[in-house]
Amino acid sequence: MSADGMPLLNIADLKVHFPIYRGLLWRKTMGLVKAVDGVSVSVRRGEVLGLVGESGSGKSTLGRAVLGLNRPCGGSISYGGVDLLRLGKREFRPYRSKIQIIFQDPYSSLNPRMTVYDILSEPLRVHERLTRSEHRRRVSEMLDRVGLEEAHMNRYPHEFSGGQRQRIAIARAIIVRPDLIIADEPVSALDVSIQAQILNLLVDLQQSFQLTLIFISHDLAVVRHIADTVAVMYLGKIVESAPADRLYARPLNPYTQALISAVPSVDPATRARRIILKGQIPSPSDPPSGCHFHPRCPHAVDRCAREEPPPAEFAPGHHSACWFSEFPPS
Amino acid sequence: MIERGESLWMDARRRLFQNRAAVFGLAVVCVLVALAIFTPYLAPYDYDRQDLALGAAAPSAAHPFGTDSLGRDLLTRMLYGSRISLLVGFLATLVSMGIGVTYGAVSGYLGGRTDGILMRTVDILYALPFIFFVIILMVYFGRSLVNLFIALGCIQWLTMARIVRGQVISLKQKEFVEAAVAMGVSTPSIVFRHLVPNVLGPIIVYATLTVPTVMLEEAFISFLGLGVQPPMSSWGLLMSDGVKHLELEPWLILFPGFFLSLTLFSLNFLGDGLRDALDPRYRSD
Amino acid sequence: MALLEVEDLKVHFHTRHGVVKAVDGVSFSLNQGDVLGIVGESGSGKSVACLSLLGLVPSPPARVAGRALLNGQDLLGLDGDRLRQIRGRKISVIFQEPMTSLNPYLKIGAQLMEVLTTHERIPAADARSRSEAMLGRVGIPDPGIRMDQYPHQFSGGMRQRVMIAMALLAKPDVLVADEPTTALDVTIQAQILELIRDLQRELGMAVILISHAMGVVAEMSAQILVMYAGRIVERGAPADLFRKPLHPYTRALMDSMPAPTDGGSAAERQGCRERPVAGRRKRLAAIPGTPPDPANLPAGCPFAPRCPYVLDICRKTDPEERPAPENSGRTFRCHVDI
Repeated sequence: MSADGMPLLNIADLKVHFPIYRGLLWRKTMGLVKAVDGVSVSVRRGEVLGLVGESGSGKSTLGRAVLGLNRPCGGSISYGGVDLLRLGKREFRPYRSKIQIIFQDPYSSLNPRMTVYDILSEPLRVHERLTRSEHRRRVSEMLDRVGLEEAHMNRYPHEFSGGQRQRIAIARAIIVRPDLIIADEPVSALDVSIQAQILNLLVDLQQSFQLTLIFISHDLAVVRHIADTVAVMYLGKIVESAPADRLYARPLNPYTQALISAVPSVDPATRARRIILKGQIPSPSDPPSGCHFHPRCPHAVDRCAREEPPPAEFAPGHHSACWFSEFPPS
Repeated sequence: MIERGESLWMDARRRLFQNRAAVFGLAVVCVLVALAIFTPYLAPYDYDRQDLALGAAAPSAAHPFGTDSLGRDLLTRMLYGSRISLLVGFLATLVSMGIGVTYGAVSGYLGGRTDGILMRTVDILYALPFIFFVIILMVYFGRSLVNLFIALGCIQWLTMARIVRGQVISLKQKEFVEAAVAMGVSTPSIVFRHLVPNVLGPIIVYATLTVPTVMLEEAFISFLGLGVQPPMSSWGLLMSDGVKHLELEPWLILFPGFFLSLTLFSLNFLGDGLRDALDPRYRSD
Repeated sequence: MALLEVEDLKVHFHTRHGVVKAVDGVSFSLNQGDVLGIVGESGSGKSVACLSLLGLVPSPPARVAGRALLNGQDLLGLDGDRLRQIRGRKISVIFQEPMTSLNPYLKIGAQLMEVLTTHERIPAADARSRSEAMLGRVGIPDPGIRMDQYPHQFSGGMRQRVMIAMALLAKPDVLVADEPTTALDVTIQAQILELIRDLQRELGMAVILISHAMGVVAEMSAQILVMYAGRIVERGAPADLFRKPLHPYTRALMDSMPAPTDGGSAAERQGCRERPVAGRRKRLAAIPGTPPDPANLPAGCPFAPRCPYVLDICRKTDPEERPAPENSGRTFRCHVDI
C-alpha cells in the first residue's frame, strides 16, 4: 500500500452553483443550479476514488472544479495542503500538469486538425522545456506505453478507432507525469469488448505510475472493478461513501441500494430483488426539501421531507447521509 | 496503410492537387496574376492612348477585345485594370480575414460580457451604410490605393467575424478545448492553434466569396471618384462603363464580365478544394 | 406459424471502398408474444438487420436480400406505400435517442395524434382521448396537461415514455426497440425496461430488443441472438448462454465484463478461469484487437483474429451455424467446441 495517511486531495464543503440568467440587456439571475452543493471528500495518494451518480448528480462538475474548469462559490479544494481555490491564474499553472483529465468521448476530446504527435507534445511544450528530439522520444515512449506504435505519430485522430483514440487521450493525460488523473466516464463511449482493454490499461498505468485516480462513472460495475473507495452522488451531494467492497456488499443508503439493484445482470441468480424507483431525478435548480431523495425513496417518512440528514460514519470509512442508515431497511 | 510523415500543409497540398476543379481554379488564378504582373510587357498599347477617330470599335485583329468610345484598346485597359482589381480583391480580403478571424475567434472564445460588447459593436457597424464609412476613411486618410484596400477590408470583416464567432462558440464546447484549458495551454494558443484551424473551412469559402465582392465595391467607390482615377481603370470600372453601352457596344461589358466571372468561379473551385484539402478527415487513402 | 420469419437476410452496402456486408445471412423467427433479444457491438449489424425489414435502410447503396415474412407477407418485396402501411401499424420502432426522435416544434399531443390519423380515419376527439389514455398508460402523470406541452419540457426518461406511447398507439404486432435505454440513467432504465415488459405482457405483442448491453437483453428476452460482424454467432436462452457460452466471442464478452454484484464475472463463477491478478487490483480478461471493419472482413471466421481458441481451419473457412451438442435448441457458429 502506497497510500499514506495524508490525503493528496481534500475537498471540503465544496459548492459549485451556476446562476440561471434571463433577459437580454439587463441580465437577471432567475435561480441557481446547485450542481455541487456541499461536497466533502478526500483522496489519498495512489488511491482510486470512484464517483458514481446519474446524470445531474454533479459528479462531472465536481471533477471539473478540481481542474479549475469551473468556479466554485464555496468550500476548499486542498491539493497537497494548498487550497487551489485561493490561487491566482499564474499560481495555479504548475498544478495544471499535476492534475490531468481523461474525457468520455474520444471523438471530441482530440483536436481533429492535429496529428497524434502534436496532441501529445502539446502538454510537454506547455510545461517542460525540451528539445525536439526529446519531445519525439517522450511521445514515442508514451505511445508504446499505451499500446500504440511510434508509426502512429503522424496520423490524425480520425484514422483511429474509438478505443485507440481513448488510448491517445490517456497518453496525453499522463505524458507530463501527473499525480492526479480525473477520468470522466472514460469507457462509457466504447464498445463492450474495448472497455475491458481500456480499463486494464488504466489499472496498469495507475499502478506503474502510482497515480491517484478519480474515476467518474454512471456504471456501477465498472466502478466496482477499479475503485478502492466509492462515493455515490445524488443532486449535488455525496449520499454514501465507503470502501468499494463494503459499499457493494452492504449499501446503507436507500439510493445506493436502488442504484445497485437497478443494474441489469446477465446472471439470473443475482437478479433477485429489484428496487424500481418512482419518478426521476429532480432539477438541481429546485431540489426537494429535507433529504433530496425523499420523493423517490421507498422508505421515506415525514422527517425526511423536513430535515436534511447529515453524513454520518456508520462503520470505519463508511459514511451515509440518511436518517435510517443505522437500521438499514433491507 | 502506408505510414506518412507529412505536415498538415504538405498533406493538404497533395490532396489539393488531386482535386481537378481546384487545380483548374488554381491554374486560372495563377495565369491571371501572372498577366497582371507582366502587364507592362504584354499590353499592346498604352492604357490611356486614345483614338478618337476610331471610336468604339468591335473586336478586330488590331484590337482583339475592341475599343471603347474614346478609341482606347479594351484588352490593354483590362490588363491594367486586372492589376488594380486583383490587388484590391486579394489585399482587402486578407485585411478582412485578419481582422474578422481574430475578432470573431476572440469574441466567441471569451464569451460573456466581452462577447456581448464586441458583437454589439459589429451590429452597430453593420447598421452604418458602408459607403459612408469608406468615404470618411478615404477623406480622412487621403485618397490612395493602399487606403482603399484598408477601407474595403475594414468594412468586409463584419460577416467574417460573425461566421467565425458562431463556429468558435460551437467548437469551444468540444472536449479537446476543455482538455487544452485543463492542460494550461494559454488563451492565444487555444484560439489560434485549436480553434482557428478547425474553422478554416468556412473561413476560406467565405474569403473566396469576398474577393469578387470587394472587386465590385471598388468599382462603385471609383465611380464616386474616391478610388481609381481615370484614365487608370479596373475591371469594376470597365464593367460599370460597359453597362452604359450595353446595346450598341456589348463587348465592353462582355469581356470584363467574363473575366470577373472566370475569376469568381476559379476562386470558388479553389476555395472548395482548399477547404477539403485542409481537413485531415478528407484525407484520401 | 411464426409471426415473423426472417430467412437468410443480407444487407450489403456497395460503396467506393468495396462491399460492406453489414448483415450477412441472418435468420430468425419470432412468435406472437415472444421477446427476442439481439446483442452485439457497434457495427455488428444488429440494428441494420431490423431496420432493413422496415425499409428504413437507405436503399440505393444497400442491397437487401433474403426473405422476411410477416404473417406470410414478404416485407422485403414491398414498395414504399405498402411499407408505410406496415410501419407503425404492424411493426413499430423505438430508437435510442428520445431527444432527436421527437419534433421540437410540435406539441406532444399533436405528434401522438398524428400516428392515429395517418393510419385510420378517426375523429380528432377520439384520437386525442386515445393518445391521452396511452400517455397515462406509459406512466406519464397528468397526461391531459402533458399533451399540450413541447418535447423540451420532458426529461429524457419521459421522452422515451412518449416514444413508447407513440409506438404502441397503433397496436402493432411487433415492437422493435433499438437500444431503448442506452441514453438513460440506470434507475430510469430500470423503469423503462419494466414498462416495456408490462406492456408486452398486457398487449401480447412480440418485441425485438436490440442492445449492446448483455445484461439488458438477458433480463428481458426469452431468446438471445449474439451478433458479430453481420452474422449470428450464437443463439439460445439467456440462462444457458450465461451458464455455458458456446461461442468464444460470447464467452469472451462475458469474461470481459466487470461484475456489477458479488460473485465476480461469469467465468470466475464457474471456476473455469482464474482471475488474473496484477498487483492488488485485478485485470479483466479483455478481448484483444478491435471489431472487424465490415468493409474488409478477414477470411474464414471473422472472430478468428481475436479468438483465443483459434485453429488453422478458422482462418480459412467460415464455420456454419450448428446445433449445440446437448441439443437444447441452441445453435452456434464455430469450428471449436470450447
